[in-house]
Amino acid sequence: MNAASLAFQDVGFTYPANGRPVFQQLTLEIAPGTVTAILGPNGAGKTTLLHLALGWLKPQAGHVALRDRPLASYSRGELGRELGLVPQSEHTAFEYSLLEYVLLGRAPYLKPLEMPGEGDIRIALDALARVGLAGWAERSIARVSGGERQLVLIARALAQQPRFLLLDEPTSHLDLGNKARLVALLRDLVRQGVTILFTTHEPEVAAGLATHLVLMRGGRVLQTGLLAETFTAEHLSETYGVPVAVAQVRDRQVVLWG
Amino acid sequence: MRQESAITGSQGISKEPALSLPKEPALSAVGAPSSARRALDGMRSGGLIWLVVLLAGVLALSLFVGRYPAPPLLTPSQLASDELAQRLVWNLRLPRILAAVLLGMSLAGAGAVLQMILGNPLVEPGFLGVSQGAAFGASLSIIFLGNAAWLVQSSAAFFAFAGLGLSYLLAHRLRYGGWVLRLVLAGIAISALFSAGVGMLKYIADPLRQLPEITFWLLGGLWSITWTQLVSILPVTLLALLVMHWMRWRLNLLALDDATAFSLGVAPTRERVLVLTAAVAATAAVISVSGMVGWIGLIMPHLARRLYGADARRALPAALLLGGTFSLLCDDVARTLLAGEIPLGILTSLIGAVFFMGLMTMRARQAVTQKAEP
Amino acid sequence: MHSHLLRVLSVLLVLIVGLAACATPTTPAPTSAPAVAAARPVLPTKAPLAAPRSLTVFAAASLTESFGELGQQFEAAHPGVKVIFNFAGSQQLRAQMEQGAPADVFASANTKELEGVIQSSLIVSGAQKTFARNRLVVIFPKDNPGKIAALADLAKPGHKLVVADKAVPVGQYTLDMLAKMSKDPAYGADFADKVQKNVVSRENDVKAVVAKVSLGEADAGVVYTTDASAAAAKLGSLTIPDQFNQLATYPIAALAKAPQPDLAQQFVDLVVSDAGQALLAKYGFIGAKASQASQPNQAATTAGPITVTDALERRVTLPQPPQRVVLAGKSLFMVADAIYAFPEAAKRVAAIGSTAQGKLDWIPVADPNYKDKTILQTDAGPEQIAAVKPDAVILKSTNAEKLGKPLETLGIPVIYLDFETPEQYQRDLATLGQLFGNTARAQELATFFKTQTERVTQATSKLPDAKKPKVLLMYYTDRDGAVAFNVPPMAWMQTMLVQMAGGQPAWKDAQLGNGWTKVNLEQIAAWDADQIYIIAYFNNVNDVIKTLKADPQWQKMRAVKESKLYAFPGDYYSWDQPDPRWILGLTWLAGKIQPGLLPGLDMDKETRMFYSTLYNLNDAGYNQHVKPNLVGDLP
Repeated sequence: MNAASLAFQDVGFTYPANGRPVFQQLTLEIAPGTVTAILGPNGAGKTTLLHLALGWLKPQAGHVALRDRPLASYSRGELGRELGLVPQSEHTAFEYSLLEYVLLGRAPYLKPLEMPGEGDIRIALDALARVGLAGWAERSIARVSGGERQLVLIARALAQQPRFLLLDEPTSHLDLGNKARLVALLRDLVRQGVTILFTTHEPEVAAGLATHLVLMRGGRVLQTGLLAETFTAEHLSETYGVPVAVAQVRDRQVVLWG
Repeated sequence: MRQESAITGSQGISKEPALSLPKEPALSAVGAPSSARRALDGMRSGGLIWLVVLLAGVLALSLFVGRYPAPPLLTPSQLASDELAQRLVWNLRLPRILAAVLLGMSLAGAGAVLQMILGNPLVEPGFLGVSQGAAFGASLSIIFLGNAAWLVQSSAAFFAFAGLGLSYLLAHRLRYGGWVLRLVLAGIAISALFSAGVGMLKYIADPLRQLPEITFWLLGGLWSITWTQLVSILPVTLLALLVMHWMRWRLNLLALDDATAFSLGVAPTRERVLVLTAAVAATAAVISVSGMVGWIGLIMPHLARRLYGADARRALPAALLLGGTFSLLCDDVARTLLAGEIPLGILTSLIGAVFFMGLMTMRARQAVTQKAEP
Repeated sequence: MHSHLLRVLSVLLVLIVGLAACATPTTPAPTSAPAVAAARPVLPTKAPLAAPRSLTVFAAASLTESFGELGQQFEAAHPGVKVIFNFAGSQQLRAQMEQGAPADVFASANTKELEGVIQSSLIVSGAQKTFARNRLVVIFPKDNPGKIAALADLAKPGHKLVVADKAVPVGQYTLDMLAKMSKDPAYGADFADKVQKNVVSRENDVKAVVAKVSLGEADAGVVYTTDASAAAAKLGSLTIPDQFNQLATYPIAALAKAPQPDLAQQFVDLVVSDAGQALLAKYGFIGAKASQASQPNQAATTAGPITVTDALERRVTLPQPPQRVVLAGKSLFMVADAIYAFPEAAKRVAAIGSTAQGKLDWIPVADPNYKDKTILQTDAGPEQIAAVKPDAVILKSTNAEKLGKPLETLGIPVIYLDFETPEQYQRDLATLGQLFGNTARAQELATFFKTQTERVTQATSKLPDAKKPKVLLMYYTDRDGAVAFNVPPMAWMQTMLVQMAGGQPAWKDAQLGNGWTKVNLEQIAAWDADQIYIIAYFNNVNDVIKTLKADPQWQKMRAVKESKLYAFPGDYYSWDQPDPRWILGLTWLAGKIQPGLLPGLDMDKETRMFYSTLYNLNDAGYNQHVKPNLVGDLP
């Protein structure tokens, strides 16, 4: 195993609310430089897996390790500098400016009562630039479109300068144009050395981006492995519970359903 | 570049971020580093100094406002020569003025905190059973324990915290909705319970002696503030205000959902409890001496955000200062306009409601014009 | 970062500190020494002519100036006689006489020394006559280096005091005075000790004290007023109020073995004669006939502090009887009506709150100076009251928290009076008597209430329950739009009136709250009272009765059928409340509940007598002001 990986080791997790076991003896490695997609229908437990990787949910059995150290042994600040989360959506009742919003991502680098300084602002402005929103720093977050909002969330995660970027359904609410932009951005980030772990229920997005795949259904992990090995019609049908065929169209994996 | 070494597998833990950004921004039109400095200045206390000056000015003026020797003003020469006036300013006006400022700051600050943490711009600081609990405690004391100021205050404070505690306990037991919704529902239920209690107490009260006292307390007012009372609430409120002020930027983080906040290095539950406790403690302390004074906690945070942006880094101190000034102005009117005392709560509600209506109608107009933008 | 909050706090701090400096109250200036009109004569120095007869007079040092002139007069009236004076402390003179020094006359500053000389058989017992009295005064050097402004300053550490030794009459008087002051809470039990600590020297006669103070060797001393007048050019003085001051008694007598017995007796006769007394009066001595209590030439403002105990059992001390009293707070008219029974009220009440109940207001009628007074609004706050500059504020005790406490922090004395029950009337009238300095009037009023009450209660208290009808007394109101009947709590005057008048309250077990309790018609019918009385404060009670009598439901009530439904009377105020008119209410009620008790009861006469006694209202005034406003079941 790569020493710099984020690794699940014999992880067992049960929902505290209803006692339903989700994972049992799950072993999974997310190696640096890879893109791992967690694929499955809605309610499969994808977000749970993501939150376990983040360290927010604590497994009842086994542990999740980063660089051979359990996540629990890291301080919150250290974790914040390693792992960045882009949630699926975020509602805010207040009209922050984009810059103020992205600046929140600098929190892991600040002491408890410290507030962002000039350097932090520069990093935040650059993060906005990376996602293509340069010059929008003063705009209100209430007045940008859904896709742009997603980009802002990613910018905030980028301001964290993390090694691992965890995204929860990043393309689900985006139209085609924004989907394409987002995928291009993520590819860019991979080239810059960020390791990506994301959940999605769209197989084609997974296929277009991921190097590794985790297939889930009904709270259970069905398959893990390299994209080429796991992205098969058989596995996908099992995952979605409906017959699915996989075809290759112009270097792209396409999924035929229905 | 550093990122390559990350990919090929660096040994040990590196202190430098994996993703180091290039010296030149990747895309143009971000602006030179000076724009960062400008942005920082905008975020700091720059414009707030005017609010401080305003508060200090109103405070100084308030010492001379009153009904002695004749309304509305006492001149400095009169103050210098009249011994009674000096005693009056020191013993009656000054503690009352300071209490009014403290009241406004605490309620506005607590309101801002609660609105951010609960993500709901329509909550008031006392709604978690704190206001109605205090009302119940005060009424109970007026009827059964005697009318002495310290008794009423202690009883009000005790039941304010009891209301909060009960709301928390009830929220834990609810099986419905997210933690915010649970807390709100529990707060409503506990408030209703105490409110019924107040109704019962009002019914059995002596209409000549006790009922007017209860009514006056419920309408809110600082008429009986003494130095002792002020000093009794000073430690709690000052500490709470400090806590809220120190944590003002982190409030923005605490408004995010749990997993996101965690990912940013925050301990969401712990920090929220800390700042909520500070907010509610300040509220309970000031309500216990002032009775029910509403609308400051609701409106001032809105006004602050309007003027200084949604970032709590500026909005919170702005709310504190605006709240203190507003409360002080209302109290000056309350004790000067008429020969008798106008309950403070009436004035803050009246002015607050009018203000609120203005705010809402302005908002609508702005929203409409926004949609027209490309 | 938190710079602006710190800034706010520092501004606050500066303001607080700045204002702290302004808060020191000033103390009142001392009164100046009463000037004595007469000029100071010079002591006689002329030498004797031939071998004269000499008369030796041993006299207390304080008599130096006055006896000096008397000596001159005596020599002028008795040519050839020389009067030789020995002025010293009376205790020293006694010692000298007892050691054999020859003397013809002894005039002492206290009876003790003279008694001692009588004991030593040097004076025949009964020969002494009191010829003068004197009082004490505090003196200080003209420029007042110790800044003595009040008696309390004597006890302040750091002051240098000179007094006479306790063996000297004036020294003993001083000790007596200090002891008296220590008994007063305004000075404190340790006052005498504190003053003693300041004493730097004890002199053997009073003139030595005068000398030391005049020279500035002390900050203050205690001497006789006559001494202060004699050295007025060099001294300032501070009056000692009557209640602490001592009356020094000066006896004079010829010695039994006087070398010149006839001359001695003539000298004594001169001293006690009218001429002698007039001369002594000229020097400030008080006449021999004066008693401790009365003061012939007392200025109005030298009346001393007074202490009263109010309804909340607080001891309130005022520097003098209040001259600007303010009556304020809620439920004022009941207390105000009692206050205006004192003639002083019209002059001394400076401002008054609202006293009307319904449309009528008695105080403008009772107070001839009403229009010159400040009328406060009902809910006037402490600042508003302070603006009237009162020297005392009278409130009902329910106003303690809201009005009383803030006023007290301003240093304005607050006196609580309740006037709620017959016992409280007795107590609070006495307090008013003290406040107005008219205890005689207070006694008169207290007696009035007492006898009028006992006229009824002496008989009704002996009645067995069977002879006490079941009475229902209710207050009618339709203020909120709905008609409501309310019964009073057991502790209130209304219930007490029923009980005192020989009735049994039918609502004894209806107690829910501490105020008027609403009862519905069912309950009223269930009680089935023998008599029903209706009170109305804001309606015309006669009209109310008419309405009830016409109501079919009320017509079914037994009391109505038996014509026992009555309207409770009133004039300016209904007579059922703790207003002074409650005594009229009691009398009337007794006449109705126990008709046989007060045969020949004439309410018109009773009411006229009430107004005459309380407010000095004659028949014409009564007919003009009160008679037209009478309501209720009055014949």
